[in-house]
Amino acid sequence: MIGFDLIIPVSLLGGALCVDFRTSLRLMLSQPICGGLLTGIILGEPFNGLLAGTLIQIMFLGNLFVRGTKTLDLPIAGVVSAALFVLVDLNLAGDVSVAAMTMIWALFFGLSAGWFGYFLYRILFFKLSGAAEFVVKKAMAGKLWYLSLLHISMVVFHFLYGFVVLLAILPVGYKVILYFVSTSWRLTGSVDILYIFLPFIGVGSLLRMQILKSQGFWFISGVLLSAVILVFM
Amino acid sequence: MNIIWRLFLLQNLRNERLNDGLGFFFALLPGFKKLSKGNGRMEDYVRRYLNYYNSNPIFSSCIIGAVQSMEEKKESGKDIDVEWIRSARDTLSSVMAARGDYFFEVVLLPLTLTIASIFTIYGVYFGPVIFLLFYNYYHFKFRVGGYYKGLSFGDNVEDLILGPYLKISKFMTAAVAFVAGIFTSIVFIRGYMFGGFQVAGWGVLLVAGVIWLRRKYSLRVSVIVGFFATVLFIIIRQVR
Repeated sequence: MIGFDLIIPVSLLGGALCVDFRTSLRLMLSQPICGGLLTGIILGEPFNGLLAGTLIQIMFLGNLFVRGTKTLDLPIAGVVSAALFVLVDLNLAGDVSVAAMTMIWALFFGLSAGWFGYFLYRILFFKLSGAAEFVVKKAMAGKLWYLSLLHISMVVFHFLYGFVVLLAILPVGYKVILYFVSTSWRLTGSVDILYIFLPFIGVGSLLRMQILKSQGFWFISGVLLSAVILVFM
Repeated sequence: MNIIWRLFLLQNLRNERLNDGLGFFFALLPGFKKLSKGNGRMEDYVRRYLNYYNSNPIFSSCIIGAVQSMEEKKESGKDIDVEWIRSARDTLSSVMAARGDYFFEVVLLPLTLTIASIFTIYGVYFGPVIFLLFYNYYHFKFRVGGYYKGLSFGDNVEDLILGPYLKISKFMTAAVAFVAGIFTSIVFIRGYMFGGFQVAGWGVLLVAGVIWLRRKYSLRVSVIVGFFATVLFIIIRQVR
């Protein structure tokens, strides 16, 4: 069992990162690479947290966050992945032989939580129109405090959403992952194997970006320079 | 100061009907309250500004500053048409949306995140710190600095902001491509060193698959499919 002394601080972090992501505060602490590191720091394993957060980040390198409407809920995905990986790894006392399998499950739970957030906020985007119309009517009648109250209360909502999702998913994900890593058939290997294979997805997402079409020279230059340094030095 | 913290909550209540209209009005509310004190013009401000608004949240600070400045000038007796202020806001929001989204979302984020990811691949802790410093330098420069520029220069803010922006933007577009090239090279060479042509060949297939999927579906779907395909490939390799 994992104690609430570990889950609560991580859930509070998740809530805070949701505020950063959804309110346009945009300090970018909510990016999985930062969220993963922060989660790791809270749980006492900064590098493991960073490893999990970075894997999520790398897969979504070509993601365009144009006002955040159609993107996966990456802050939650990063924190869930990092927290589950670190917690299970602590339970297994750093057993490297199942680290890859633990990470795959942690990423799976992270991505699932991200999908949930995406759907929830898509629904909210349409449902909040009613509340907005109500607030506009009240403002026309001179009652501006409705507008201020609703606007500020959304900060609390974003925070609570992140907090509750993490509070719900961490205990479940932790048990599921522990169950699968203790079964007779296990995928063996360290996290390094995922750092070999998953970045290919990031390359695919980056190459699909439109701006690279007009910057072929610089792209090829980067490829060649890096290849020369890695192969000959 | 009462307006500055509100600039950071612009997208709090995004919705289909007004988009960020509530956030825009909420940011300017202290200014409007001050201007309408004693003359009861708040209803005019509500009619003019509590409506649809959609622009880049960071560059929006310039627009908020510009609108506040124009309204203050009008209130102090200058002959400025209210409809002209509103149309200036709409024009600025379109321009700033295109420029701001391109600069922050298409160029700056992929550039800084790719650099940070490369650092982490090689086990260097401070990748996220570099990312945060680099990104937030421009973030605060345009968010807080942009607001004051808008306040000082009114509707001319567009030229003042976009002048320096265009110079950086051109350089950074090339930098994104260069860093993407470095990242691609690193990923393929590491793949080849790990498992020879089998892994590098799988990488080519996966990259092509993600690009193909991305043409038809969102990045979410492409990444999830790529993730499961990769896990399957790793399992098959182990079983064999």
